[in-house]
Amino acid sequence: MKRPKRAAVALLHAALLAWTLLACLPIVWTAVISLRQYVDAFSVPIRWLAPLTLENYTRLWFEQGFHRNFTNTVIVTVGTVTISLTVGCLAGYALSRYRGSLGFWLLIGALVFRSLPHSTLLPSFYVMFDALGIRNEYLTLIVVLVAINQPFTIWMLRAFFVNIPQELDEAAMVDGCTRFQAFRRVIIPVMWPGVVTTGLFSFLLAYNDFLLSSSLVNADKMTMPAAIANAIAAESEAFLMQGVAGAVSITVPLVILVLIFQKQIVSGLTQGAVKG
Amino acid sequence: MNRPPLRRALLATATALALVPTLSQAKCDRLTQVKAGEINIVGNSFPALQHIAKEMESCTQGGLKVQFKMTPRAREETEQAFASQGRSPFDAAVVSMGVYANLESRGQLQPMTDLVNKYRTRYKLEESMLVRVNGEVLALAFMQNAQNLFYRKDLFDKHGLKVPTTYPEMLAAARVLKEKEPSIEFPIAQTFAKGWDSATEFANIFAGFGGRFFKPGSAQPDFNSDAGVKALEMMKAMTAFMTPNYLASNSDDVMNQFQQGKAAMGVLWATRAARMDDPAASKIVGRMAFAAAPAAVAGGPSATHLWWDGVVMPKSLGADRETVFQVLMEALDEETMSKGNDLTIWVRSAYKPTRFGSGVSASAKAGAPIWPMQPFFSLAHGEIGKIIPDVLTGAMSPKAALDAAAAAYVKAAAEKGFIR
Amino acid sequence: MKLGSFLRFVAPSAALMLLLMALPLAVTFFLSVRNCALKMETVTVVQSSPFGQREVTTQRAVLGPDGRPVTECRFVGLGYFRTVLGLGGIEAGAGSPPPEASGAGSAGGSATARPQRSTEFIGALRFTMLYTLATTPFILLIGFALALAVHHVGRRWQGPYISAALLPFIITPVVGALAIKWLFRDNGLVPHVLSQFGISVFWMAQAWSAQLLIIVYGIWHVVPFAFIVLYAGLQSVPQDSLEAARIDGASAWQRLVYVTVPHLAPLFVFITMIHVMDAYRVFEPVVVLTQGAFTTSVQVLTYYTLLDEQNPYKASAAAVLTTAGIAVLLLPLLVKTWKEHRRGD
Repeated sequence: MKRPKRAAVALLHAALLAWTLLACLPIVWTAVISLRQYVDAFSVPIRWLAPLTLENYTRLWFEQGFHRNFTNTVIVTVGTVTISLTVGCLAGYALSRYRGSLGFWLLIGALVFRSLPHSTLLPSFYVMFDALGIRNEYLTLIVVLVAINQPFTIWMLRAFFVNIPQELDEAAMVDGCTRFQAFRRVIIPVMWPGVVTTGLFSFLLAYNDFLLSSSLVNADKMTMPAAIANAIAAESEAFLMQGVAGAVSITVPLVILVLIFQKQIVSGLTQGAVKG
Repeated sequence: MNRPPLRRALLATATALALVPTLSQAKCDRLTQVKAGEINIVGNSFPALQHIAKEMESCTQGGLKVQFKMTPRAREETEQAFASQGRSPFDAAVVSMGVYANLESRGQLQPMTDLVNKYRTRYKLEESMLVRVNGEVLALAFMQNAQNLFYRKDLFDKHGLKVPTTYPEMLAAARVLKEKEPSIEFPIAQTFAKGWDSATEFANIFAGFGGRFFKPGSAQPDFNSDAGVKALEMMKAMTAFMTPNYLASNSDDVMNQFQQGKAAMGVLWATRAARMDDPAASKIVGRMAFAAAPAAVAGGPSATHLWWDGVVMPKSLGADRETVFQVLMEALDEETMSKGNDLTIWVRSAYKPTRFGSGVSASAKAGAPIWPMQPFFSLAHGEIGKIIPDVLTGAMSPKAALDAAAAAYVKAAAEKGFIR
Repeated sequence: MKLGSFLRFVAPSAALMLLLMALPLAVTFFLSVRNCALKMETVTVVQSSPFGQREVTTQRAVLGPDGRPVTECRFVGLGYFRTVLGLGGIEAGAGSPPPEASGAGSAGGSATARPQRSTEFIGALRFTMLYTLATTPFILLIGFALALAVHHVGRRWQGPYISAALLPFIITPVVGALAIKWLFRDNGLVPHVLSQFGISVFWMAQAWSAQLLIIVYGIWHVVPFAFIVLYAGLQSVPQDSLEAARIDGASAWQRLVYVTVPHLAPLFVFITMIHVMDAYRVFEPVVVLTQGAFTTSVQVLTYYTLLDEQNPYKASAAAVLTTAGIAVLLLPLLVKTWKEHRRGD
């Protein structure tokens, strides 16, 4: 790749900076006002500088027990991602190796399911889980999120597996391995980029989910987005500001994760879905 | 130092709450015949309820675990839970009277008369707290609310304006302020947000014009009458003095306009009034006064509705009925109320009214009706909320819009079996 | 792979999707062809409340022998679908709407001259189409431009730029929508800055600005997704083709148009498909930013049908129609995947 001239590079930086600032502006502003009292945060006219306070954060995390919500989010997210990836890898592998039309219909069906608004699934969930008495359990929520996640997961993982030549596992089977052993041999090369990339999307879906997380569980198991939405709608300025602090708190881990994993994400996309 | 009464009350509440562990042990010790287990309650998310929820959750006596789920989706969750064929996932709910009316009409509420009689003296239950149908207690009300007039007394005094007692007077005062008061660009702030908020505004003003939502004794609509047209025209006249973003103005936005000193008057929920005097939230501490909601016409009733909020239990609850009732009563007793006296307008007679709640009693005295309780009312309410934006922006004439809403309502009511 | 192995491998995934998505969808469809209502009777009761006592004539559900309300269900076939689409509707139990209310019926097919309110579902579809048409080109263009820029900007800077660019996509939608609302609300940052230049816009006050807000949110939120996919795609553009083109004397622009873009074509298609499907499910921005004034979406509509009208049957019809609509949209992708599948990938 020939090296662009300095002026061109400067122009690129300028353009990228401009977009970055625009894209991050809403979040940066939210972070700024989270450090203020309500009267300054939503001041008319806008106050560019105002007294700073950490009370929104301290009240949120310690008095309102946001740390419990954080724990709940961790439980739900880790559970969803691990189960989703495990189940998805098996399915993705099979879909990449199977020639029959059943695989095709499964993929198409998955795509259609992905487009269902979650609010229409709720009434059925209520009825099902109440009948079984498993509402308000971590596992129920995790299983629901895994199911909702499957369409995207199997499409992505299938694309990764498609790029691994079939000779690899066929050779293994000729050597006497079972299909499952062959699968394990094939999974290794795909593991790091494919799993990270697909895992990220799974993670985002579980981490950011609001509707299902707030409907299917009660107060003690509520995740962070649900708690934030409650705080913001609580008809109280103090709670609103705590909700704002929560909104910033929930974004920080995401930013850190992306900073750490962005190389893997890109290489994963390059190797997998992009080719497929 | 002259601390504002709210600060003192908040400090007192904080101190009291800090002592909660000690006090609540003594409190919940009154429970008798406790069946251990989990009790789940659901309710909306607002400060008074946060206070009550804390009281309820502190009941850990006898192996009890009380969980209060506060969510902005409380209405759907309550209705769905109480309609369940098997055990209801929630053993009790805190509901507004609108939701109560729906649940009651479907026969989904657990009668509590025997429990009330049994525990009446222990918890000092007052008759005004009891919500009965043909004598059977189906709910226990603990707080009242209404939308009443908020107005900037300092600005009104400055321009020699009297407190408006009718909407035309309010518009006249708004005109004066808009022209003469430099700090106010949009004098009126009111919750005209599409949907529930604006439909409630309509309901209030419509009632002020003497309108009847339904033909007497039937579910046939009557809100597309002259009174309805007048109500919509009044709302339209008000928008001239409101921020152009009124179609997205919910209570939070209106509060912000008041607290930042950008609006001078409006009809808003009394439970929000106390926040006007919180220096962490408001720039106009002490300058907002409260009065009865204005009437729509001179001599007419105050154009607002009276609400109550209370606790109900489903017919099919899972936990032990008596235990749940006791837990609820513990959280609604006099002690809880006095600890959170300023959080809302309590129904109990021992409630010490503050100036923030004065608008509710004034509106009640001025003849405000109570919120309609017909089970089909929420359908009409919903349909009206859909057409209001079109009317206010001039896309549809009031009569045509109301007729369309009426027809849509009839269809919806027929689907639900109210119109046969 | 043999069918037996295939089934064993996909069993967990398929079971989950069937149980938790196909089954509810089937139940949804089943619900949408029936109308269930409680049997109501008119009663006169004495109501007491904190505001006093009064005698009222109202309606209550008839209770069966078990103390539960009696439900009457009847098959209405496509009635709800017709209602949702505004083509008529389910007939009331006995008798049609009384004279006073008719002649002004909404979208009921009556020929009386009165302003025709298109049904909400059609309105939601229309807005979804507008939203999709308005956002997709920008998403692809800006995403591609960003990808190109980051690709050429030098290794050291790629990390930070990628992370920053991804932010609007990873943020919780509720939080993101609120963050934008706080920028555009009355006297928010954007109106304030604009007013310094003499431009005064009330963003939620008229249709064009309210819709623009949602569109801006859509672009803001999805560009990072397009960016990251296209950026990854750029890493895999075959270098030999580019070299060959350069040797043949093609300029940078020509290389871009004739080598890079065709290579990335399937990715453009992929991004468009995902975005179109997600457009049906737009929810938070509509509710948070505009309260549904001037704007709506199918998901918002379904949600409020469930919430306000408490009519899960009608909501089910809307949901089924949505799913059917999406299936239709996906037809080209279906065909393409079928051909690929037959070919053996």
